[in-house]
Order: sequence, then C-alpha cells, then structure tokens
Amino acid sequence: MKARISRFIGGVTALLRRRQRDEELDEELGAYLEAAVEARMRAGMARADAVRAARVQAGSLAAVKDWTRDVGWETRIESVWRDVRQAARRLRASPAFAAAAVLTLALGIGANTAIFSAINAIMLRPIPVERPQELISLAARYPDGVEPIFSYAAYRTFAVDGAGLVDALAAAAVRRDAISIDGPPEPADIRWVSGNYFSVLEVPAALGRTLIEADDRRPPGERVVVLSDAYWARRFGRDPGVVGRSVRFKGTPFTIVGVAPRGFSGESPGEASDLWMPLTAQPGAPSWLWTGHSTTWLRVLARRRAGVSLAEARGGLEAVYAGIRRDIAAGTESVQYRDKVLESRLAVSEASRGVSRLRDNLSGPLLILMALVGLVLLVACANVANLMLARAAARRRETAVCLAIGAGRLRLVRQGFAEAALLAAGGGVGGCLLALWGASALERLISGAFPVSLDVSPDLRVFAFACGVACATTLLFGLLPVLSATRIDPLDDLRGTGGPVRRTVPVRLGRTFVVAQIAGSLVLLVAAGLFVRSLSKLEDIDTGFDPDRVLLLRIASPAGEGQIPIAARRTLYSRLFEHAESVAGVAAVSASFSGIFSRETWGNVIAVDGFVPPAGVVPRTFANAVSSGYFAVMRIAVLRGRGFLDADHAAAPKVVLVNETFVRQFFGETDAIGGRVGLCSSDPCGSPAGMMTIVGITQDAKYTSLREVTRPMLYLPFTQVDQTLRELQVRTTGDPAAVAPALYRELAAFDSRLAIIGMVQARDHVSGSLVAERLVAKLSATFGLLALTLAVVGLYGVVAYVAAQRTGEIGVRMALGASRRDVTRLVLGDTLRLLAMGGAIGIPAALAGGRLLAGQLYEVSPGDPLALFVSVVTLAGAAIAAGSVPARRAARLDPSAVLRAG
Amino acid sequence: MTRDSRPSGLVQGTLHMLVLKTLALEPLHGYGIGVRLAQISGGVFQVNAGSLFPALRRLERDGLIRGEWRLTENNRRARYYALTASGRVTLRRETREWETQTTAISRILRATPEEL
Repeated sequence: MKARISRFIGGVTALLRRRQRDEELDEELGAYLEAAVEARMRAGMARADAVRAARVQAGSLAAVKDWTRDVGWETRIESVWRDVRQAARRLRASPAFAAAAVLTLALGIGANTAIFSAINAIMLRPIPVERPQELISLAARYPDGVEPIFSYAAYRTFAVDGAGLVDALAAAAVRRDAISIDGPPEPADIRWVSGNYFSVLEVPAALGRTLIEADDRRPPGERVVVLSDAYWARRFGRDPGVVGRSVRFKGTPFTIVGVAPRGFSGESPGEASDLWMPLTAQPGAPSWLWTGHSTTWLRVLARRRAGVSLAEARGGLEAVYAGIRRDIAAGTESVQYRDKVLESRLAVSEASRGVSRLRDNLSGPLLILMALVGLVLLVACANVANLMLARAAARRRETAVCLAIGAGRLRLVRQGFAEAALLAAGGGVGGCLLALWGASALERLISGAFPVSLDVSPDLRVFAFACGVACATTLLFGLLPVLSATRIDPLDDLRGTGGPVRRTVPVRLGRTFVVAQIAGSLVLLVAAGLFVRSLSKLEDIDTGFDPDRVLLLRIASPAGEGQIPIAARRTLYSRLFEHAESVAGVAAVSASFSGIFSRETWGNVIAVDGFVPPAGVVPRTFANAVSSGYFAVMRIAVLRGRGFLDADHAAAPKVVLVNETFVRQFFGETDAIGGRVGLCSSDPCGSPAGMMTIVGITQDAKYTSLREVTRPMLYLPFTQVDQTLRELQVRTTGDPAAVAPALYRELAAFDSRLAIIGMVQARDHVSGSLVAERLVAKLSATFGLLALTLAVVGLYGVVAYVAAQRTGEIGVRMALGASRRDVTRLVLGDTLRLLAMGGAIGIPAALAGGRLLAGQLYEVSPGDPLALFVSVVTLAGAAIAAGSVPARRAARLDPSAVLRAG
Repeated sequence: MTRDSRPSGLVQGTLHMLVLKTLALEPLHGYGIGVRLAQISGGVFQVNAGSLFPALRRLERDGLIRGEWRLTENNRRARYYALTASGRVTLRRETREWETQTTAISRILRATPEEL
C-alpha cells in the first residue's frame, strides 16, 4: 500500500516536472559513463579507448533512458497525450473533414442526450424525499386495466390493517381551484392529502410545521394548509410572517401552518401543487365520501417499514386488499361489477420515482423516440466511419511509408483511435450544447400541453449518458476504419501497384456502411410515416363539435362567506352569461358541468322506461349539465326535437336531450322523443329520482378524448339539476386570441364570488390532447430526414470515390466505343446496387420494427403500404439524385484526355 | 529494438535485493553499485546500465532508496543512493525469505533416495 502511494506520488511528480526529471537522468547517465571511463583509464587505457569501451559496455544510452523512464506508470499517460496532440495536429490539417465529422456526431449525440434528459426527468429521477427506495405505490389490477386510485374507505383499511408492514399515505390528484387571500378569488393548484403525507415521505417543514396525523383524524379535519416553496415565493415573496395567516377556500378559512422545503413539489413528478390540505378538511364533502367505495379518488403510496421487503409488503397488502375487495363486492348489486371486483388483484410497485400520470402517458412515446434517435446515431456513426475511410484512403501512401520505416501497427491504430476519440469528444461537447437547447424545447412542447411543471435540466446522469454515448460512438465509427487503414501491404502501395480499387478492404467496408445507412434511414422514414399517418387519422376524427373560434374558461364553484344557495347560484350564472355576451367580439356564451375533454366526467346509472336490460347489465350513461346555449355555441347539431330553452327552468317539467348512441342503445328502432329517463343514485337502480322527458336528439360528440369510443350521453339543463358549472364556452366573432384579454379582465372583475381559474382556446385544447402523438410524429420525421440526409451524403461519397478511381477504365471504355449513356448506366448502376441492398435489409427491418410500434398507432397498420411506399420512393429519389452527380461527371469525361493523363 | 533484448544476467527481483544490500553497507552512486556488486560476487555478476538504472528507478519509486546529488572523491557531481527505513525493513524480509528458499532448494537438490 505504502509502496503504491509512493509510486503514485512519484509518477505525478514526474509528470509535473518532466523536463527536470529528464535532465537529471541525462546527467546521472553521463556521470555513470564518466566514472566508467575513469575506471578504465586508471587501469591504464588511453582515454579514447576507455570511452569506446565504456560506451560498448553500457550499450545504447537512449535505450537505457527509455527503459528507466518506462518504470513509472506516467509514461503511458505521456504517450497517450502524445497521440492526442498528434491527432489534434492532423485534424487541424484537414478542417473540413473534422468539421463534418464533429457536426454529424454532435447532431447524433445531441439528439440522443436531449431525448435522454426528458426520459431522465420523467422516468428515472427519484423524488426528493428521504430513502425513496422504500416507497411503494398501490393500484388495483382489473381484468380490463389498472386503476391506480382508491376510495377513502379502502385507503383507511390499507393504513390500519397494513400498519405492521407499511405506513400508507393518500393523495388526491392536483386540482386547480380558486382560493382567496385577503381579496378576490385567484387560481391555485390544490392537493388534498392524508395527515401523515409529510411524515411518511419524511419531508420536514422549511417554515412552521407540515401537516400532522391529528389534522386528518375524523371528518371534518383541521382547516390548515401547507404551502409549497414555489408558491410561497411567488405569492408571498417568501414572507416569513405568512404562518398563521388564513386563506379562504369555498368560503371556509384555512390557517397557513407551514411551508414545504424548496425543491419538493409532491410525490408526482410533473404535477406540482401549490397548497396541501388535510383530506378530511374538505368543506361540504358528503358523508358517503368517507364511508362507501363508490367514489375512488385517492392515490395510495406507502413507505415500507424497516426490514420489510417488497415481496413481504406485497403479500401482506394483498391479504388486506382481499378484505377490501369483499367489502366492495358486498356493496354492489351489479353482477358485472361484482365479478370484475372479485377478479381484481392488488398491484404493488416500487415507487422511488413517485407516481405520475405524465410518466404513464409519455413513457411509451419517449422510449420509442429513444430507439429511433439511437438509430439516427448509428446512421451518423456509419457516416463518420465513411469519412474516416475516405481519409485513410487519401493517406494510404503516408501510412505505407510509416509501416515501411518500422512504425508498429499498434502505434498507428492508437493514433487512429486518438483521432476518433478527439472527434467524438468534439461531437460530445457540441452534442451537450445541442441537448441543452433541445431538452428545453422538449420541455416547452410537453408542458405546453400538459398542465405540468417539468424539470428536464441535465444532471450527472445525463452528463454520464452523453459521455457514454460519445465513447460508444468512438468504437462504432472508429474501430473498423482504423483497423482496416493499417491493414495494407506497404510494398504494394509504395510500388504503386495496389490491387484493383474495388477489391480493397476500405471500399468494401465503405459500401457496407452505406448499405447500413440506407437500411437504417429507411426504417426511420417508415416509422415517421406511420406516426404521421396515425396523427393525421387522429386529427381527422370528427369531434362532433366545432372548436374553432371558441374560448374555454374554467370557473371555480361560486363561494362567498359561506355556501351559496342553489337559486342564487343559478342567477349568478345567468348574469355571468349576459355579462360575457356584452363583451365586444363575443358571439354567444354557454356553460357546462363537464368541460370539453376534461377529466371531470359524470357517469350515471339510469332507468329508461320501456328498456329492459339483459341480466346482470346495469344501464349507464355519461351525463352533462349544460346551459341552453351549449348546442349552438359548440355547434352540436340537434337532429330531432328541440334544444333547451329558457322556459326549461327549475319549476318547469324536467327535460333532457340524448345523443344518437343513447338512442341506438336504449331505444333501437323506436322513437326516443317523448321517452322517459331517470337518474339513479344506487347501482343498480332502486328507484330513479324522478323521470325526465327526452325532448331532443343530438349528434354524437366526443366527450373525454379524441380516441374514445362514443358512449351514450344525456344532457340536462343546468337549471334543473344541482351541478355547478365548471366551464364557460365563449364563441367569438373573430380571432379568439383578440377577444381573450378583454373577456378575461371583464369576467375576473365581474363578481368576487366567481373566479376564473384558467382560459384556453378550444382548438388548442383539443389538439393539445394529441401532444404526445404530435411530439412523436414531429421528432420521428425530423430524425428520418436527418438520417436520410446523412445516408445520401454517404452514398454520394462512396459512389463518387469509386467513379473517380475508375476514371481510367471509363476512358478506355469510351475510347472503345461506349456511349455516354453506357457510362452513366455503369456509374448509376453502382448507386442502384447499393440502394437495392439497403432496401433488401431495410424493408423487412422496417416491417418488423413497425410491429413494435403498433401499440402507439391509431387506425394505421404497422405494415401500412402508403407509409412504406412513400418512404421507399423518397429514399430512392434522393439516392438516385445523389448518384446521378458522379454519373453525369463520368459521362462528360474526355476519353483522349483521360488516356493521355493515365 | 524491443525491451526483450535488454541484457540481464539476474533473476528479476534478485537484482533489487542485491542493490539494497549493497546500499545497506554505504551510500553509492550508480557506477559504484555496479563495481561493488562485481567486486563482492567475485566478478560473477556484471550488472550493466540497462538493468541497473531501471532497478534504481523502481526502488526509488517504491520508497526503498533515496537518491541525492553529491560530489564524488574526484570532485564530480553524482547521484548517491541510500537505503531508507522501509528499504531496510524490505531488505531484512527479503533476505530471510531468500535464505528460507535457498535452504529448501539446496535440500531438494541434495536429496538422495535413501532419505525419502
């Protein structure tokens, strides 16, 4: 050990004081020689003889010096450094080559690093809590899918019965709602969590205290709130006096008790909360929310207790869930639902990275993008490898001379690798810069459409990834060219009688690279084609409403000092509509309970007069409470009967509208107008709350998303039900963006009991639901074109090189009577052969790859002939265009000039 | 020329021990070490520069000897090497090991069928 340290220090000293060390060794050897000479002179030799004898005895002093120096490890570093400097000099001598290679690599590495940093942020980074590896998340796995949320009663059972194994916490999804802090209501992202949320995650308060178990004991819980650091900074300017102040939510005061630490935004990456409040403190929550299983709304996370393995936790909690399952099944009459529940199993998964809807939505697309961008990098590497080959070919003579005068092949290989490593390092640095830009562009693309706060800033892992990729590329593009460059016979080359060019290894290798590039870019083009086709299919989906020139405003439920009576609330809404319609540029206004493509849907069990459901099937429908203007504003056609009228007020006979699917499902061929429907409060229906008459039939319209299969829909006038209105739809006469600012100002100042908590253009909202698809389509198309460009450049290089080598041969052919067309065909034939080989590999590869993408495609088969055809034609067109340049050049050769020159 | 052609009449490692022993008697410079080795061994070991200097460098790197510029009796500058404390310990240990090994080896070489 001591010797090792001493060796290390000696090496470092030697590196730092190399010159002095060398001089000392010279002097020492000089003294040695002199002593040897003197000894011989003392023995009676003449000085000249003594010197000669001493020299002979000592051998080559230069060799002795080398051997002595080689004792230390530092000489290896020195020789590597020498190789690097030499490589840098050689690259400086050919700046065009170096620039092309570095740029190509930077594009490849940059694109990979950018995608990876998004993957890192969304899929890999642990959440900032103590020992995140102990966290697990729970979900119910049904035969038809996974349900990650539970009822409050189920959560309590997990918490109490599972207490020996884990500490379980519950959290509702983040919801934007209105709160007021000494003033008018304002939007904030609120999250209801169990009292032990912070203590289980082991997140301490930065100021004051966090929530505690006692806040959340029995409904109603303590009215307290903890702020996030970001919200504290944004809204209160980090005022330490904030603790003890109160904020009002739905008229109920909540006391601020503390602030969470900086960097902690919750257990769901991407879904940041401003305020955390105890679950049971929700004002106006109905009592059944705490007892029954009918409403599932809580994510359940848990921390394993010390010494409890994941398998033990899984086993123990599965037993707890068996009880919950029985409980749920006992509470339902629906045979279908009971069977489904009884078949369900508990899914326990590791949750060190938290739980995230964003991750669930984007993981698939991101992994596909990573695969595609990896392929781009391979194509880029093949391209740089080809550049290296061309360079080696140009330097063939130099290499031959080096070999002939005794340079070791290993040495030349090392030099070649030093060059490759330098290029890769340059590409890595450029790539990191590109990735910084690309990652923030990605972040904007993603968070522009999802209501998320995403931090894709690179960390150590991203940096390590970029380094790893750069090293891998060095091997990928460096290995074969460098090895083949030194595998030449110096004699042949120096005599100038190298074998026929087409037989030599580098050219054959270059052609292989080009074929690989063509195949790779074909796969990328086909993938891009599939995604673009899938996107356009999605964009062509008929929503059933017209989102153009419509603004959607989210409104919080009206709240004053206390709950507002229903009648007063309805009046408030009507006045709101009138006020909004008075704003310049507004054509019409409507409102609804569930917003367009919102997650807050309303499903209900119904009873339909005259419809007898098959055994075990409970009739269900989606439902929505809307204002009378809804169908006109959203341009949902009322096909038969009438829409809602102002006359359909609270005291008037209850009326509803249904969509075509509703009619098909529950009425079949009979006339639905005049039919009677009732909403049920139990499952299945005991007795409906009161029958309502169908007065109109509307066209089908998408309710929750573009991809949904249209389901039965029941529209109720908001004046005849209790539901609040959460979304205002405003149709404008001109550009909605021009109307938006004034509209927002007017409505925000309209009434202090009503808060606007969000505004978006309906068109953006609808297309925003395709953000992942658009992201994949856009990026895969970019990657495809990038790969195509690289492949075509590579192809041109090889074809042109071979054509140039065959100049003499072509001259002879022309002199012997070959026409220009023959020559063109000869050279172009080379391009076509490469293209055919690339296609022969690429088409099957693309078909196989397409199958992997099938899950991400919408109504496009993985072997879509159009995508394949367009890709092949694009590739062939570009390749032939590139190949025809050297072909035309060859055809223009003057045979006599060529033959004289040769 | 490759490293394999380096002249060396001694088993690697043995030279290190001999150099250490030489320096245990008194500090010497490079040539002096060679002369002293030849002298003590009765001319059996002729250590040349190609073996000696790498050995000296290695011993110095391992902290077993320390080099120092001094004047020779002929008033020339030369680098004198002296044993360090850890060099002394190493020498003692290696000498012991060497003796154990040589005793064992000579016993094997002297062995006769009767002794088995």
